[in-house]
Amino acid sequence: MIPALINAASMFFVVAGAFFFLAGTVGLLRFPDVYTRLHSLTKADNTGLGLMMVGLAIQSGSILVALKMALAWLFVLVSGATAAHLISTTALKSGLRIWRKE
Amino acid sequence: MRSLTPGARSGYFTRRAALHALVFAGLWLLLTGGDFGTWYLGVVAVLTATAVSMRLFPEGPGWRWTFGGAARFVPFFVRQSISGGLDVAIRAIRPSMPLDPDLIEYETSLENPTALAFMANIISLLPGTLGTEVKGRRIFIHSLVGERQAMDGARDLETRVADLFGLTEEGGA
Repeated sequence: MIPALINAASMFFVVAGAFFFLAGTVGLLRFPDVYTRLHSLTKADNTGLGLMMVGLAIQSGSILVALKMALAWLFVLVSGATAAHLISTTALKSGLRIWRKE
Repeated sequence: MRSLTPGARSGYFTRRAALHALVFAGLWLLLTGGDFGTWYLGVVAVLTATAVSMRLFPEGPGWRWTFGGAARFVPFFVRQSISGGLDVAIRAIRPSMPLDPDLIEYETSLENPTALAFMANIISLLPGTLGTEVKGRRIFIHSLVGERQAMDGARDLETRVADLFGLTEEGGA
């Protein structure tokens, strides 16, 4: 009973994470400019990877592995937010206008 | 920088370096799974990382996270992350692709540079906002949710960051 429950919970989190990655990719392809695309990327990484890590961590059954995953998620967050900040700052400084609805 | 006696300065430097080394040693232990078999590689990695971080980290006023502030910040962050992810996912997937971007300027009262950088980065993970250029204490925010909501979000985040860093908001503004 318990293993089945763990499997189901784990599957739920991993699939939910995959949904956010997919949506993030769709946004990356559909959104009109660099700023809106960055929105899509940073949030998909954060939410998608976070959910996947939760799903895999409960599957692993090891605190050490779970901690390592939390660490990987944290590093992705920090590097993703920093990269988004640098790219958008550079785009603004080089005069790239933001896309606006007509 | 405040003027310190040479003795106090070098004591401060040593404490800072020791703290960095301790954090990196903890990371190494976590990554190796507590295996001491390759400790000499760990020593090299920890010393290198400490030297690099001492050079790169700006030496400014110190900062700390308060326990209570962190306990309140984590659930807030998890909640906002999920709603931020959902918000942008829905905008991306809906055929009409509802976007109404705007660039707004937000002036914070956070004086601590670490707290300010933290806030500018976290903004990017909240619903509809992306932290861009930071000039002094002004953060330029790219918003998908209009000016009003982005301003409210930034103000709320600022209060929570101040709480996390244990900064009392004297006089507001």
